[in-house]
Amino acid sequence: MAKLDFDKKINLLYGKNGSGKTNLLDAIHYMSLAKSYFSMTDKMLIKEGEEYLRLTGKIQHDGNIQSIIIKYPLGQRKTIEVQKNRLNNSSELVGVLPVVFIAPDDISIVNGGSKERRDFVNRILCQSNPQYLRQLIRYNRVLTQKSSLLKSGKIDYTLLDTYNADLISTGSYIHACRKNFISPFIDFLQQNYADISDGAEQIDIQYITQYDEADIKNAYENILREEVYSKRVLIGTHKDDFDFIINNKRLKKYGSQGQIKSFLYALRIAEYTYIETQLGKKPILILDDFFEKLDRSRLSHLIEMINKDTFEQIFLSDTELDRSKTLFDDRGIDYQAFRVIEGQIASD
Amino acid sequence: MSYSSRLLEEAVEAFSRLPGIGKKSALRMAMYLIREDKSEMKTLFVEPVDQLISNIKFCEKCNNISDDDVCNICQDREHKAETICVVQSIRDVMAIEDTAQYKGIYHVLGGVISPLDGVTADDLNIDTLIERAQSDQVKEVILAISPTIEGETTIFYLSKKLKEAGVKITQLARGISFGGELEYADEMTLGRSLMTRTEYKLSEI
Ligand SMILES: [Zn+2]
Repeated sequence: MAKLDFDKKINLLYGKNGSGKTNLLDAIHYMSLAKSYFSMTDKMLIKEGEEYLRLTGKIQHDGNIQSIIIKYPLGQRKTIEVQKNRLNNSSELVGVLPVVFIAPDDISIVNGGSKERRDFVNRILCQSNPQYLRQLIRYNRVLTQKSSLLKSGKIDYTLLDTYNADLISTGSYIHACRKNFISPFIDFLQQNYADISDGAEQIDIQYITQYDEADIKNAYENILREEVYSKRVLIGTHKDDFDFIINNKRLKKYGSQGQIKSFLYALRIAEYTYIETQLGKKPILILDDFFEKLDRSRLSHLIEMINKDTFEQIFLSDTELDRSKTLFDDRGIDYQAFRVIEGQIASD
Repeated sequence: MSYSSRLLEEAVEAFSRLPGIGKKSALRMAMYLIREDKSEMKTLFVEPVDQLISNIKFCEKCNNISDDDVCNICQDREHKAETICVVQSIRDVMAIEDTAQYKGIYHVLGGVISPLDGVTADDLNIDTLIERAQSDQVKEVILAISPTIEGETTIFYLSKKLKEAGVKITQLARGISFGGELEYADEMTLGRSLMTRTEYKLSEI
């Protein structure tokens, strides 16, 4: 049990590795999206020997106070209340408290499989557009049903047509949102990248999809027999990918370590700007282990943005206080520091 | 709990298997049965339970729970009914009957299509529904199925299957949580959504 009042601007959590800083930052993420950033299940988040997870938060914004209460008794249903109103579905929480979380292992967005990049784009679009989230939940559910049906080997073409009709309708919406997202997002990305690099490289993102709106119904029909034969789903927006490009080549393969890191940083700040533009409100920015992670040029870009009031509330973590303290003090930036020891947190 | 009687213990075990009954309630129930007038207790409790278990049937037309091969509702209304109301469970039939707003017959599916839970169309009473809908007398089929994702799949599926029967297909007015939870919907809301049902349009792919 910990109760904390955070600063409305910069909050610095410091403590040794393993002191629990990341867990605290993850708790803020949980308040925002009703799940852990690190794709841990709710069960994994409950301390060993305990039977209950409870998170309460009060958000103050423009003089309004909103309260969020999340309860999860082990083995029971998770309940979420916003302003004492119980939500029917945890997806309704998304958007109340938008958040951008930057963690050290972000590199998987570049190096990992297509799922990592889809998750990244989905997280942005879900926070920007509640309808996208609802359609995505529906798409994934129907996809699981279709996949189970194919796996069972019980062939029912009427049912397969039913699932396909649903997947085409939700999938088309998801596809359209991703398509509309990519161009403004690239503008933000390129701007950020130019700001932190020498500006020589050309960067881009390519939306890779087998989804062709004009012919989608035929495509579903034509592949149906092969799906039945292989007992697997072979078509849909769940196979989309996003290629990161630098100087007309794939970043994953041809980018230097420095280029990849700059790209990643630019990507996450673009995420912030995109969500802010869509929602008309500034997300909370969380930067885990920021000093270790950002080199000088990225760090000074961050400071510059802080000075320009680009962000509102920020949560940062660092293993030691001194260097962050010097960084902020030298530039006259106000912040509040919190010491974290063995999962306990106290303000300085 | 420690029991002085094995008979009592077994009875408590049995009652506590019932949904919503804990050990304490089970003990109270068992103690209630231990009365002087044994024959009265047998008439009141043992016989109805034995009868229920031995003789209960499912209506061979609509799959509703019934004492006879064909349920009361089918017996009384089938010869003149123009409407079939398709529901997920027997409890839904009871909830709709409680509204006293509906005079047609029912068809109990026994669930919704969900291969993820091992339920395909073959596991539900769909073939018999198609057969009944083909009768000349039937003009309308109401799909009173909950609008969950699986419920909507089932509605879409049934409307495709019912196309050949040439009946009007309708859906309950949106806005109430349905099926499974239907018994919790109040009679007014349920009755109203039944009366203001809308035609279901099958969007072709
Ligand atoms: Zn019947």
